[in-house]
Amino acid sequence: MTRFTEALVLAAMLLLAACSAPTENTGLVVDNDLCIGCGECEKVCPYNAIEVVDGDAVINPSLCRLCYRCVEICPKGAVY
Amino acid sequence: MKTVIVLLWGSLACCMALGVEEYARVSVAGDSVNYGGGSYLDASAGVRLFEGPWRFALDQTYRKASEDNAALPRFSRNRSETTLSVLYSAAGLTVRPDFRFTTDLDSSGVVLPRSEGIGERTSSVRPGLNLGWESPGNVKLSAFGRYWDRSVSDQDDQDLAWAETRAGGGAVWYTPIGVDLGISGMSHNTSIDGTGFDETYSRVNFAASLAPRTLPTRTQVMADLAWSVQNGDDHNGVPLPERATARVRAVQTLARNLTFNFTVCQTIDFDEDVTRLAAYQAGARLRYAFNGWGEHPSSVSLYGQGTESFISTRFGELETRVGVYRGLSVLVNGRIWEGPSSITGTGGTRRRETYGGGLEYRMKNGLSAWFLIRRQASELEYTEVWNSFQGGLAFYPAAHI
Repeated sequence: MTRFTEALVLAAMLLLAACSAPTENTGLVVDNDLCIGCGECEKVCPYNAIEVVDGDAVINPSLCRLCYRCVEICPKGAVY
Repeated sequence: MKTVIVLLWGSLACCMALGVEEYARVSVAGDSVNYGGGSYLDASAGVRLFEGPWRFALDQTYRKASEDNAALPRFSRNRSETTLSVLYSAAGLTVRPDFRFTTDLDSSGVVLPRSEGIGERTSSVRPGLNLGWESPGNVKLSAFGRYWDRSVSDQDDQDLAWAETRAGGGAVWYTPIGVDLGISGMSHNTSIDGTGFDETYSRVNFAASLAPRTLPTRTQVMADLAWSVQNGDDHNGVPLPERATARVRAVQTLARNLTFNFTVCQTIDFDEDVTRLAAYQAGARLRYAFNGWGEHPSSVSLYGQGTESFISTRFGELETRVGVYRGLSVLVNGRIWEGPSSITGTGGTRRRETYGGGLEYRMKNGLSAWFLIRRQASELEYTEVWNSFQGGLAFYPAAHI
């Protein structure tokens, strides 16, 4: 492993350690790099608040009530 | 919809010079290797016709879930979805209208906003249009529009007139110095006349992306920074914050066929009087690719991720495919996930573990068959452990005339 890679890993670990979970509702995020557009989130959402559009899941914040079913079902960990 | 399919195939018969691709895939999964647990059937099929700058596509997916005896109580909609799209692409211009028709096979319930009760959703239609243009000056323009007409009725069987519109566009300039600059915007309106719900949220993003070109050999780094100005309210009527997102991606080739990449992403929310850390994600993947002993490439991939927002998740995944003889490959995979739980009686969080193995056989004509037997465990009030079966057939032949 090169020094550069070691530095990157160290930076990532420091960032991870520096951040803690926010205590207020922050809304959900879909990571488009991880989302494979499988639509499992659509099938479990009871509020019609998430839908795959052009290959990526999109959350409608005016309908999402943060039940986290999409977070739970996503096979790639793309919703958090 | 059947008429559309017949017309499409009729067109195919009349125009035998068209290029054709088709695919079909069916998979079944069960909670248990024994009959009687929750079971899931997924099927999809499609056909592509292409001629010069034109491309026509028809896709059909179908999902049927039976969860009466599922090991875990879950919620999944049974539905059928048909998508017809046309793509015209020439001289940097792309025009793609599409039309999607979704049918809920069991009239699934949908929770209406603002405590208006439960509606019955039966179907939706969604026409859409995408436009794109790549100019010679390394500028890419795009625009899109969508309209949803959802058939949702209340408990008195009255149609609620649920409609949504979404429109937006953007521009990206790929500058000569390795920095990409972008601006994009979108607006989404949700209107449910039957309950008086009418909400719009919109977003304008300013983004910059940098990919340095003077890095050590076999190293790639990309950094993105985006600022999102949002308008509209969330489900509680709280205004959406402005949001900054910073992301760094790096890929390092450690040795021949061995790559390591990781991503770090942090978002920061700016409310009117409060600035706070929002979602954070860090993930790393190690992938080894090799020829194996069969006809198809082999690989081992190990991925780990942690996220922090109002909730925390941890996710680890091992995916292995090793070609052993001709078209036969051995599959081994495992996943560990920890995060929020929607299952009654499990408290706020739970951990899920899935690991198992199986075989896949790919024939030269594009047909492949596969199965996995997996062991799953979920940490509930007590740890629930069960075996599951998953298998399927897929057909992806090469394009032909």
